[in-house]
Amino acid sequence: MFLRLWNYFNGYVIISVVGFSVERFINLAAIRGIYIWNIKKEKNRTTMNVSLRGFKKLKECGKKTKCRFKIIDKKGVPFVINKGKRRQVYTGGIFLFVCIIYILSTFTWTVSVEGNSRIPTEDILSFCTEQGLYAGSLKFKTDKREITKKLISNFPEISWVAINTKGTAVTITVVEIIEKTEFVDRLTPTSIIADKDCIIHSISVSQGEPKVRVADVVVKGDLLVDGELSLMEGDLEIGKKYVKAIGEVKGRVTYEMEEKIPLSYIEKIYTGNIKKDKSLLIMDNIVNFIRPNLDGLWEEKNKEIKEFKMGDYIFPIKVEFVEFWGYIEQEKEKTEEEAQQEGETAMERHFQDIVFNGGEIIEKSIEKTVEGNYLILKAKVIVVEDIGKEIEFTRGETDTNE
Amino acid sequence: MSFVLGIRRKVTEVLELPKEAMLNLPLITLLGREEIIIENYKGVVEYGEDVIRINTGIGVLKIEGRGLNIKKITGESVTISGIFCSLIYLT
Repeated sequence: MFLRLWNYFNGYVIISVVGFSVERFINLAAIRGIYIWNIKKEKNRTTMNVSLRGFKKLKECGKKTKCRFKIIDKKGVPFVINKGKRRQVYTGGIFLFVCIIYILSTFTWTVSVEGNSRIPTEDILSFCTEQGLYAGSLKFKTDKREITKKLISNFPEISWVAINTKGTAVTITVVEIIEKTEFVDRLTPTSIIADKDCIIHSISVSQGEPKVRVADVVVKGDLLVDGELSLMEGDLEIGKKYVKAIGEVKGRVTYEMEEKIPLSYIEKIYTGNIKKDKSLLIMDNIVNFIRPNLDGLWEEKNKEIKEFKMGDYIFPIKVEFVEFWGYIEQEKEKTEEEAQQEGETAMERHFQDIVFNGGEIIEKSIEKTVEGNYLILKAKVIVVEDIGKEIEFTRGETDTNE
Repeated sequence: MSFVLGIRRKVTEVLELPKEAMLNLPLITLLGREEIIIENYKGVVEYGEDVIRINTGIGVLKIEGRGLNIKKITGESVTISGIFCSLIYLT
């Protein structure tokens, strides 16, 4: 095996010898130190392999023994190189191919993030892009260690990061820290103030001093529950205590809403003409040479992107298929009932938002007016909802704490 | 001549020198019946598929067999492969 490889690198020729005494020819060659192997006798000729260096001396042996020899085949690296010298474009092509593969492999082609559950992948990727690691960046220009350090310092939720390069794909493996349990502060003294203008509907206080009563009218910012308690001994105030005000204050809040619905609208009617377009996406740059003629009104539909994959690796070249559907615009009118229904469903959506935020609707009235080309719905809703808002005492006050 | 050779033989035997070099003897290595390496040979006398005759310092060595083939030949040694039946020294 090894010898064969050696022979191949040095080059050899297969020759066929014809003559009266091939044995003499072989003897002479052997004495001259010509390396001959694989001598095979066929009917009227003998084939043998001769090293390239030995072949040059063989002419003399042939003359002396009156044997004629002919080259059957040339094998080995020297002949391949010779061939390459003659076919320069072919050799250049191979060389160029190797060069292109090398150059392309110096780029990062894909960046993926794994192991993150709370930090969005986009955030990490956009940060890496700022630091010079993105699809299309040069591999040797990106300092992985530096980026790892910066990632950890920039995202406090990351406890460990590894950037692995496998071929042209970069994988950022992230380990997030364990989420902190929410800490309920029961020590910092606070008060509750009103968040909205309203009428107090109910008030229940478990800590602190209530400052309002049911049916009181409050303005935004009014104190509802005070965290400052006076310590009394009989009628005498002997000191003050600051606590965290805990309690639920519900107020009646009035909301006014308005919906404007046009009575005429434009409807798209598809003509049935469909034009298809294909475009090439090279690293998110669109390359499109042949575009369909899009005069008139066309709507983009059924957008599809086809990716090319090889194992886990996604090529940065994608093909996008788009259909354009032709349409005509036509003005249409709505009846008042239709418009009203539409408005009411929109209103209902607003109401649902209130309920979703913890409010309770106790009264609602809807008014309807037609103004020009529009139908206007006005709603007045009374909602019972939590209006308390906790605020901390300012520092000056807390300093007086015992 | 034979007198000189006799002295030479005795000297090599006493001094334990390699005989094949001193006495011009062929050194034959036989691997099973499929390969034979003959060192210190003089030349190929006959070469065929069934018979190969090789000249050595002490006479012609005739190798008989089937599918004989000179695998390698250099100035010092010749390697023959095939299936051998007999090795005979012709004096």
